[in-house]
Amino acid sequence: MFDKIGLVPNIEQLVERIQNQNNFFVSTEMNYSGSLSSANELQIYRIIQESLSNIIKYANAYAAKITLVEQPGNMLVEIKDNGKGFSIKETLNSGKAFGLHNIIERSRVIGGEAHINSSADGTVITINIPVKI
Amino acid sequence: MRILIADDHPLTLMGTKVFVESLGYKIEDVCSNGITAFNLILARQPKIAILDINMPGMDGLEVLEKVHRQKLPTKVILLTMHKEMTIFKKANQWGVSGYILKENAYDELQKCLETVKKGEQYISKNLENDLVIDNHSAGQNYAIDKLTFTEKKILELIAQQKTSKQIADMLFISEKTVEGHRTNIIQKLELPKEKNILLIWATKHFK
Repeated sequence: MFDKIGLVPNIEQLVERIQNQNNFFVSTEMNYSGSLSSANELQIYRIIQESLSNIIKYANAYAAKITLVEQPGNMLVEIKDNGKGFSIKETLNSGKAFGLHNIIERSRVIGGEAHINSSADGTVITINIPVKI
Repeated sequence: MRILIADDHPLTLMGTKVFVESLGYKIEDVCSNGITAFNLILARQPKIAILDINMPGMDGLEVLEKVHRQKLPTKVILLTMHKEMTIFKKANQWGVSGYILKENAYDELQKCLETVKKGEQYISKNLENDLVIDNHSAGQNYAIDKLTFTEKKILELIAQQKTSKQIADMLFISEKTVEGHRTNIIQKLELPKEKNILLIWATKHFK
């Protein structure tokens, strides 16, 4: 039913659920009018889902923010938190970071690239997806 | 009163038909996919159409959307296993007349048909329970229940002696938004206009 509902309402529902179930605050800034196929939208939804679940499990953050911005020729997806951060290299090579690899792989599948930045102030995952105009 | 039923599972379709007939209604048409359902609605304008959501061709939501857009007189009842609020909200946008879950259909379909026949809307009790929790966070007896999740979060941080600026940074929202929430919280809680009133209230209730 995902495609019937659309990306933004699905994310809103996910955020609402996470807030209520985990007592964890997530703010959103979403400016998206549907430039991606619904298969790609689903990938983005899964990436966001995975990221939020990582944040809740490991980051010990006060909050997270989801940003979706459509720019000419490009779509930007960003998930950031103000948690304790982690060593990206170590985690990726630990053989256990399925979720993280998943995020990278899903980004690639939709023709984009995931960048992960992490420090003691938090983690930012940025994904840029080229969009045909 | 003419009724159409559409469901892609033959046994469910037959079950629904027999059940609705046992309530004293006459079933005009039955079919097993959305396209036929829509064509029958166009051609024969039944008073009520009971539709499954998941059907091949055109699903129940799409049929509803078309009926709504073309302002057809047929009232649509969705009989579905989908409990998700998002799906209900979509259906509601398109003016659904009835929304009931298959698991409760035996108890609710009769009431639903009677309500829709009168021109009113019937939403499954089981769905409404979620709605109430979502929108009004059940039971307004306690002041704190009137607050939204965000407002409570902000109060929690106020109780930890955080300033608006700090709260804004912690929650990835603007300071203005925090100030706006503070004003709303004071209004909702009907607190007197005194200095630091929110801090005093928050420390008392969030410890």
